[in-house]
Amino acid sequence: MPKERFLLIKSWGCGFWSDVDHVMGQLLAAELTHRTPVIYWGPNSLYAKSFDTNAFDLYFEPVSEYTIRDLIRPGYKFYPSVWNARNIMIEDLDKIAWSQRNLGDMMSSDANVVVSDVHYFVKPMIDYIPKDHWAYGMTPHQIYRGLFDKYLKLKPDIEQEIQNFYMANLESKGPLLGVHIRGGDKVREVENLAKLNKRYVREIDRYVKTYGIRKILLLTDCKEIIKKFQKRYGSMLVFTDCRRSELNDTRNAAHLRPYREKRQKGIEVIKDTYLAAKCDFFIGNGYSNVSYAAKRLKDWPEDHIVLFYRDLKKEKKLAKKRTRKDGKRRIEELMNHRSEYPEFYGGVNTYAD
Amino acid sequence: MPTNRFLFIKAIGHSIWADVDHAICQVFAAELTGRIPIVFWGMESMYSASMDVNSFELFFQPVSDCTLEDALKPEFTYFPPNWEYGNVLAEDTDKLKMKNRSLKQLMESDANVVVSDVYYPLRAMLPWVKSGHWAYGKTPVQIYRTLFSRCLKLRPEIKREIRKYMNTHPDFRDERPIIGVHVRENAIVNEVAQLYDLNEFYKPRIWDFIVRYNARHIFLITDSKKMFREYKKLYGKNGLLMYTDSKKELFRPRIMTCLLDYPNKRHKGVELEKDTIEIIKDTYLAAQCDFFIGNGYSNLSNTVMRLKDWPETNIRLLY
Repeated sequence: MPKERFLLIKSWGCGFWSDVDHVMGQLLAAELTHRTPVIYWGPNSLYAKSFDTNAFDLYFEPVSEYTIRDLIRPGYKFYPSVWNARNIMIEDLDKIAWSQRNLGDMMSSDANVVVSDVHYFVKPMIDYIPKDHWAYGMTPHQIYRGLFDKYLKLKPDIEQEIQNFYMANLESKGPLLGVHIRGGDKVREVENLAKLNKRYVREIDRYVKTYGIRKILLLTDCKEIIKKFQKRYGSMLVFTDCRRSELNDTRNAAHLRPYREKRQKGIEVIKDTYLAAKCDFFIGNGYSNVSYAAKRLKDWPEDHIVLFYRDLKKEKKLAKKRTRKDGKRRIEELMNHRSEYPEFYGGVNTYAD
Repeated sequence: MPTNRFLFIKAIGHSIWADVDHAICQVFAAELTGRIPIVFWGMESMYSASMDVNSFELFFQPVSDCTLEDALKPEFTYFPPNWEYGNVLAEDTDKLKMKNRSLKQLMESDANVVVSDVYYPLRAMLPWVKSGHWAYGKTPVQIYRTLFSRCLKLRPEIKREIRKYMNTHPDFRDERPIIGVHVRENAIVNEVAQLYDLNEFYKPRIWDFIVRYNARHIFLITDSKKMFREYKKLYGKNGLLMYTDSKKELFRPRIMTCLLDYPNKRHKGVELEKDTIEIIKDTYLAAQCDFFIGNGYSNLSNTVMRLKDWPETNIRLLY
């Protein structure tokens, strides 16, 4: 068997920074397992341009000199075993079942190519970090900071676009406050998002008063939020020109819709995030990868950044509610399955000979 | 005859009979271009079972003796040129741009493997039929008939399922004539500057067949619980209406990965196989009926028409 060891990091297929988070975790996994990382965001990426291109390379510099085509060698052994040289470019629609994708097996595999297409945070990988590794003894956030600095290099034209916007709208106009508020399809993921969003105004006003904020850079996927902030903060408000959807619209969120210029979709979110990281202060959503990314792009003084979370009491209450709802769903699904497929339960078996 | 010319026929990702139609048309294209056809329904198919399964073969027998290993080799040339050994099983999300996919290019390519992932109707291939070929001078429906008889072979266990329905429903076997009816929930037609509901045309036709030919039963296929209830109310007396246990549900399009919840809500596994077999069973049973009324815009209804030589008076596809 050939001796080469690769970690193929495929697109997870969710939001932009969620996919970058996946990449970061897997880059750490590649370091820990002495594998050469190869990133491939195929057509399943929401930010892909075409079937032929690797969407990661549209926005960032590659992390190694290898491409997915170097891994298409019939002699290679692949893990998980569903993969082979002929099919590694496909998206496995059943990956969400996590079959053969537990972290331990992936970390200990001796295959030439381990394919990673499901998301793991850095946190569960901490147990695999040996004492002589640079990340040993660090918190997950510190490790992310290290990984972002080490691996995430923007394409020069995107960097230039960010710089142009910064110079035209924000440079020497500080102190600057970046604010990230989610609406749109985030209501699917975050219960009580509206309640969380109500905390922003008070916190912004506190920052304005305490630190003498002169410009507020608003990052949001919602048209209504822009209007509301324009009314309240007037000329203090700065925002980029990007596509936004309606509040609570779960189906037409900007990142789920096609763009005529497909690369632009990724550039919009990158530009906003990097601009936020250029601000002096930042207020964000603790359940959003965009806010996490802004936090991970630079070393913020502790008082200069706040991400909103629910409190633990509410979290526990919601968890109980979620468990009850899930329990009901399971019972309902089981009953439906029994009535729809009686032959699997020893009922009317039309399938037996 | 050994050859290194193949036509690799992928799923177009629509309903089962739309994908079968595509496969059959491409088998015909393979015949016209001297290629060996291989039908492979991978992850792009709505019927895909898993990564390593050819879902076409879950329901039908292969259309040729060639295996995937025979047809896909690293040293082969591929057409359209975006394909290569490493990506030929993936879905080209840009395929509808039709780059390098004109029928002429596909038919005249000299690559070892031509990959077919866009639909061309059988009618479009007629200019390539030479005199002396069995299809020369035939209409598309006649060609479909031959191709369906020759190339579309059900797996034995599905044939058994169909037989079983007939054995367990003596009325279907013994009380003839039977009118097969396929009704879709969404039957709004909006072509030729008109807008109308095709479903309004069914009942007079059914009545016509009943009184003219003394039909004893109606065998109903539908994708709608609402239509099912309506037909049951109208024709459900004295065992007039017959139907199978197939799901009365609309075709479910694919859900984006980012919108999938855990656990995996993809329609797959034994449930997918069972539900699809039910659709196939319905279709083949409709073809066993003496009369048929269907929706001319539906692939299922068109398949019923292509599965047997219907006397002209016995079948009505509504348009």
